[in-house]
Amino acid sequence: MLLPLVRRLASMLTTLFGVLVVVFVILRLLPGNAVTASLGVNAGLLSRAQLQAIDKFYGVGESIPQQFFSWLWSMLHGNLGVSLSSREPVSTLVGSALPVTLELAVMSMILGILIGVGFGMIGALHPDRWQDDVGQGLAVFGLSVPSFVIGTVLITYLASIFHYFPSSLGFVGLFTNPWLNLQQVFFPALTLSFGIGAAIMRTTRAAVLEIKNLNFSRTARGKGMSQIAYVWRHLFLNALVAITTMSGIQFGYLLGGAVIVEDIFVLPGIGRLLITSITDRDFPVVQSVTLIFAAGFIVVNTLIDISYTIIDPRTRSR
Amino acid sequence: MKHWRRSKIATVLATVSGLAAALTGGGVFSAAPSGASTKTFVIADTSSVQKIDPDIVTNFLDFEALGLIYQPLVQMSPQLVIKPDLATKWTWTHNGLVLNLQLRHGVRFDNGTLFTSRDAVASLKRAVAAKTADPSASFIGSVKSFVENGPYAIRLTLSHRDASVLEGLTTLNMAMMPASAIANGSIAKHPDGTGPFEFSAWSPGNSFTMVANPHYWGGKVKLPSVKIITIASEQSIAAALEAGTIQMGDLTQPTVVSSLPKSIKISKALSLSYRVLQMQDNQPNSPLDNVNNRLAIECATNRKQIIADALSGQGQPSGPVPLGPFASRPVSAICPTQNLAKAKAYLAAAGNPNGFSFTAMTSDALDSTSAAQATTLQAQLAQVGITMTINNLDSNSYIQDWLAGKFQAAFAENGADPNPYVMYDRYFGAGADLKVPAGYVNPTIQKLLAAGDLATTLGAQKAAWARVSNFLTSHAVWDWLFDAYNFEAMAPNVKGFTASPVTSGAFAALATTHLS
Amino acid sequence: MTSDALPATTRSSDVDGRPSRTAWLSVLWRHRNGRIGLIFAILVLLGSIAGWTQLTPYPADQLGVGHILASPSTAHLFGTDQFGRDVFSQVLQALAVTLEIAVLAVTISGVIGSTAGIVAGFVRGWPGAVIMRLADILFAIPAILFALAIVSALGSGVVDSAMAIGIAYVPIYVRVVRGPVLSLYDADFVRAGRVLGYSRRRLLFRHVLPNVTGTIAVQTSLTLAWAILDEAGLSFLGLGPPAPTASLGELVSNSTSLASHAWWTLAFPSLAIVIAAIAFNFLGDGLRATFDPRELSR
Repeated sequence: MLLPLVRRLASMLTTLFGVLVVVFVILRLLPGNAVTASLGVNAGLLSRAQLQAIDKFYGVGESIPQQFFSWLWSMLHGNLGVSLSSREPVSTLVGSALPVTLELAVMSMILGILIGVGFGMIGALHPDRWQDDVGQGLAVFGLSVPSFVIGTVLITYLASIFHYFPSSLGFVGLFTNPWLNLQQVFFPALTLSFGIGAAIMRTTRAAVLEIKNLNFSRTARGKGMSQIAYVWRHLFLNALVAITTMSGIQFGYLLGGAVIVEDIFVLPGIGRLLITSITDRDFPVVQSVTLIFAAGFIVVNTLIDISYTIIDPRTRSR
Repeated sequence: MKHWRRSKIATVLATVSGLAAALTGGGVFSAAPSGASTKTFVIADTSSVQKIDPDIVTNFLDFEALGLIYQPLVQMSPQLVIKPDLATKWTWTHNGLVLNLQLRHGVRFDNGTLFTSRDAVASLKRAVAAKTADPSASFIGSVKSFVENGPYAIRLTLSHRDASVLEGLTTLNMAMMPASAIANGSIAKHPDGTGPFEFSAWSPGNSFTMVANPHYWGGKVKLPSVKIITIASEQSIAAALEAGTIQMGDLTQPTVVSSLPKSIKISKALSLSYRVLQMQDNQPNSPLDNVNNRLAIECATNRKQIIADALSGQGQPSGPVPLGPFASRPVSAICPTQNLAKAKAYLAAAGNPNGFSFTAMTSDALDSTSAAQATTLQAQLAQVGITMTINNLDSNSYIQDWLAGKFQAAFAENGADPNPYVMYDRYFGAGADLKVPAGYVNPTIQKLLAAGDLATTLGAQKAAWARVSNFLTSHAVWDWLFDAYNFEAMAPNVKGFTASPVTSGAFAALATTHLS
Repeated sequence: MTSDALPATTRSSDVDGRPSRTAWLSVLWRHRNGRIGLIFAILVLLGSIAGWTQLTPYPADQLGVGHILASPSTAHLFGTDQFGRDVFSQVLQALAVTLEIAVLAVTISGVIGSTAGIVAGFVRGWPGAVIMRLADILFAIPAILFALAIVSALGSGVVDSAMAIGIAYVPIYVRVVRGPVLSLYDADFVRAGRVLGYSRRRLLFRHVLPNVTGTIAVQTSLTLAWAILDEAGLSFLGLGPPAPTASLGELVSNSTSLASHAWWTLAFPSLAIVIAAIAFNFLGDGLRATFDPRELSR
C-alpha cells in the first residue's frame, strides 16, 4: 500500500521538475526582456549608464544558469520571488489571484456537471426523443461556440438592457460580500460551463446508454426494480467513472478558458496574471504561476486516479 | 369566479414584477452596492498602472494616473503652450546658458511638508542620475548643474544653448517630490506629491486608488476619491459604463465609442502623438532605399480614407508635426492628398514602373488599430502596383525589431510635442538616440533641426520648423499618416470634465470635476 | 477549450470484423451524427476551396465593394463590414485560413503524438517511460503558455498559429494512441505473432498499426474541431494571423464591438465556426461508430 504511494509521489515530483525546466527554457527563448517590455520603444532613449542601471534593477544581467539555480534555490525555500514589474512578492500576487480563478473553476465545474449530467441522464433515458434532442442541441452549442462570443454577447446585452454588470464593480472576496461575489462569478462561470457541460453531457449519455444495454441492468429491470433505484444504483453510479474522468480532463482545460473569460468579465484571476506577466516578460511571476498550475493539474489527476479505486472496486486489484 | 381569477393574475403579476424590480433595479441585482461607487469616482482603462515611481514611468496610463499626484515645474496646457505649474516664472540669462525658475510659495506635499528649492533640486538630480534610468533625462541632458538660489528659486546652468530644456521640464518624468522621501528611498514604494490627489492603494494589475489631497494648493478638490480599474476589453468598459458601475472609461476603438448609447457623454481630444509608416533608408537590397519609391508610397497614401476606414473617421491627417503652433501645413509638401498619377511617375523615375514589394510590421498589441491602418494602406498601394506585406507582431517582438532597426517599414505610434526639436532630434539629429530605428541619416536635416532649436522669435521658429516639415515630406523620409482622437466616455452625472491632448494632464480636469 | 477526449476503444475483437472501405462509409452514413458531420464537413470543405481559389462573390480583401456596414441583402448575402468588404466573401476566405491552421495543427500534433504513442506502447522499458513522462510534463503546462510563447517568438502567421495550437494536443494523442497499442501488444493474435517469431517491424506495421488507425481517425476529427475553437480564442487574445490571412476567429473577435449595431458582422463568422466545429465533432462521433459497431445502436 505504501510503496505505490511513494512511487506515485516520486513520479509527480519528477513531472513537476520537468515542467520547471521546460517553462524556464521557453521563457528564455522569447524575444525581449523585462526592460524592453516595461520601457517599450523608450528603451532606445536611455544612455548606456542608464541601461546598465536598469538591467541590474531587473536582474536581466545574470547568466541563464545563474538565474535558474537562484530561482530553484529560492523555490526550495518556499520563496516564489519578486515581480519584476511591480516589485511585489509573487506570493502576494498569486495569493490574491488564485482564489478568484479557483472559485471560477469550481463554480463552472459545478454548473457544467449539473448541466452535463442532468441532460446526459435525461437524454440516455429517452434516447432519440425530444428530451434527448434538446440535450444534444445544447451540447452542440456548447462544443462549437467560442467562449468569448458567449461572454461578450452576455455582457453587452445584460448591460444595455438590464444595466447590469456586477463584475465591473471591482472584485469582492467571497467572504467580504458573498452575494455580490457570487453574482460576479456566476456569469463568467456560466460562460465557461457550456463547453464543460457539453463534454460531460456527451460522456454521461454514452456511458449510461452502454450500461443500459448490459446484462446486469436488463436483469435488474426484469426483476422489477423501481425506476429511481435503477437509475441511481445501476446507471448513475456505474457511469460515474466516465463522468469523473471527463470532469478531470475539463478541469485541466479550465485555465485556458479562464484567461479569456477573466479578460471579458474583469476578474483579477490567475489567467490574467499569467497573460500580463508574459507580455511584461515578468519571468518570476510566469514561472511561479505555471508551476502552481502544473502542480494543481497533477494533483487533480492523481486524485481522479485514486477516486477510481473508490468508485469502481474492480480497479483496485489492478 | 372571474373576479377571483383576475385578482390571482394580479397577485402573480405583482409578485413577478416585484421580483423583477428586485432583481434588476432594486436591492438584489443592484448595480451600485451601497456607498461604494457613489463616493469613489471609478475610471476604467484597458491597461493597468504598472509603476508608481514618476521618474521611470513610460506607460500612458501611468502618466495619466501619477499626473494627478505629482506635478512638474512647468506644464503643457491643453492648448499646447508652456504654462507655470510649481514654478511661477522663468527667465533665461547669460545669453541663454542659464535658466532661472521662481518656485510657487505655500505649496505642500501630501505628507504636509513645504515644497522648497531643496526639493526641486533633489528631484531634478534624481531624474538625471544614471541609476534612476529616467527615459526623459536626455531631454535636459544639456543641463550641467542644478543649484538652489534661496528657498524659492533654482538655477539651471547649461553646457550650450538649448531652449528645449523647458519642454523637457514639462514631463512627469521630471516631477517634484520631497527631498526627504528621495533620501530615504520611500518614493519608489509610496508616491508623495503636490497634486490634487494623494496616493491611497495600488493593487498591481487591478486597481490604483487615490483620495483628495487636503493640502492641495489649487483649491478644494470635489471628488473624495478616484479609483482607476483595469478592464482588459474595451467592449467590457462600454458595458460597465452602461451598467453604471464606472464613471469614466478610456476608449481608443472608434467602433466601441460609436456603439455607446446617447446618454453616455464623450469628450475627445487629439492625442499628442502621430501615426506614421516609418521607412528605413539603409536596409540592404530594400526598395525603400530609393527615395522615389518612398515618394511613390507617400503619394499613393490616402490619409482621409485610412482615418475613415481604420478609425471610423476619428482622426485628422497629419504631417511630421501634428499639433501646436508649428503644426505641418500642408501635411505634405509633395502629396498632401492622394495623387496616383504622381505616384506612378515616381515609380517610373525609380526604374520600376510596375511597382515593387516590401514588408511592413505592425503590432495590434501596441496600437489596436495598427493592422486596420495597414490593411487600408495596403489596398491603396496596390492601386499603383506596390505590394505591401503586413507582418503583425507581438508587442515585445515589435519593440525589439524596432529598436534594432530590423524592419523595412513599420507602422508606429510615436509621441509628439509642440516643439519639433523635441520630437525629431532623437530620430534625425546629429547625436540622435534613436538613429537606428529612424533609419535615415542626412546632414541637411541635422542642420535644419539645430537651426530650429536656436531660433528665438516666433516668426523665425515657424519658418525654421516649416523647412523641417518640408524636408521630411519632400524626401518621404517616413510616410506620416494621421493624429487620432482619444476618447473619455463619461456617465451622465459627470460634470466639468474635458479631455486634454497632454498625456500627464489627461485627467487633470478631475481636480475640478464633480458628480451631479 | 473544450475536449471530449474519451479515447475511442479499439478491441482485438474488431480485427476480423473491420469494415471494408465502402462499408465504412455506409456505416458512417447510417449514423445520425455521422451523417450530419459528413454533410457539414463537405460544406466546410467546399467553402474553403471557394475561399482558397478566390472564387468568392467579391474579392474578400477589397475595401468598399459595398456600402459601409450594409445589412444582408441579395447583393451581399452576409452584409458588409466597417470597411465595406463583403462579409460572405470574407467568411469563405477566412474559412480556408482557419481550416488550414486547424489541419496543420492537427497534422503536427497527430504525427508527433501518434508516433510517440505507438512507440510508448510498443517499446517497453525506458523509452516508453520517458515518452510518457514527457507527455505528462507537456500536459501539465498550460496550453496558453505555449501558444503565447510560440506566437510571440515566431510571429503570428498561419504556420505559427498552427504550431501554437497543435503542441497542446500532442500529449492527448500520445495517451489516446498508447492505450490501444498496449492492449494490442497483449492481444492473442499479436502474442501468436511473437511466438511465430515475426519481426517487431512486421508486428508493428501488419498487426498493430492497422488496428489503431480508427482511434487516430476519431481523435483527428475531434481535434480538428477543438483546433478551430482554440484558434478563435487565440485571435481574441490578439494572437491570430493578420490580414490578408485573417481567420474566422480574427473576423469574430474584430466584430465583437460591432455586434450591437451590425449583428451580421459577428453572427455569420460565428456561424461558420459553429458549423465547422459541429462538422468535425459529429464526424468524430460517426467515425467512432464505424470503428466500434456497438455504438451503432445510438
